[in-house]
Amino acid sequence: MTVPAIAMVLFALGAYGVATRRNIINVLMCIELMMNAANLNLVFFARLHGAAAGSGNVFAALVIAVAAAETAVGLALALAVYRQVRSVMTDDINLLKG
Amino acid sequence: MSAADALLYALGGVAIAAAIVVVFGRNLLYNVMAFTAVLVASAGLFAAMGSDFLAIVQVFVYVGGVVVLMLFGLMMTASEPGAPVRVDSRQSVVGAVAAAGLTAMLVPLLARLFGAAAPRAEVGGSAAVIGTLLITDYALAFEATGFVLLAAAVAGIVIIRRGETP
Repeated sequence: MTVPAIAMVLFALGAYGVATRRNIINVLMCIELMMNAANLNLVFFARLHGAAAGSGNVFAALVIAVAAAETAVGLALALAVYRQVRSVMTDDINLLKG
Repeated sequence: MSAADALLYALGGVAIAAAIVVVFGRNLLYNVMAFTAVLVASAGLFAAMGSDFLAIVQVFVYVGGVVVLMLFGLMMTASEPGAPVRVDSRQSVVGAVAAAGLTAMLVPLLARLFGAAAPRAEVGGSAAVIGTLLITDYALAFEATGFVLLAAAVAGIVIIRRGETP
């Protein structure tokens, strides 16, 4: 049970960070933290079920790919927002039309 | 406690300590560095669980790619060049309640999934197993992920270029 416990703590910290941090880049990092926690659980699941379930590893690999894509788009959005409002603080983004 | 368990606890402790810095740190650059530490410790956890391929991929993709992207983002959104980027938190009570609620929903699920079974020794984590699965059972998911990556790359360029003044 060690790894799921670690992953749970990481997930909780990530969720807290997503809710409270003001800098978009820091929020992105916290989302990655949560995805990483999910990956840890997937790999632990694969280990639990032995060679028949290499699926856990495949899922984790796919999640890593999707997380990379998410970061690329997220940072592009952060830069686009920064260009409009000169800030990446979430509570400065309060315009419906830039 | 066996040596393998001790290793898991040590790596997990590093990951959690660094994650605390990511979530509560005041300097964004240090947060990114702590984020790197979380990822490296997670790679260590993958390796300790026998998924050597994922450990390598984690270091390549996250530490080599995502963290560098984060650093670029930090650099390009700094309000004054050279000065440390200060970050802070708001709504910490609401955030704590939300995070605790979300986690509390996960605990019974995880307990049901992982509670009874004990880890087995044999592991399907090597590159050969993952590669075979990716081109057989999960070929469609693999292709779809490739398409998602392509779409993300194009979307990133489009979003960045659109706001540019010609």
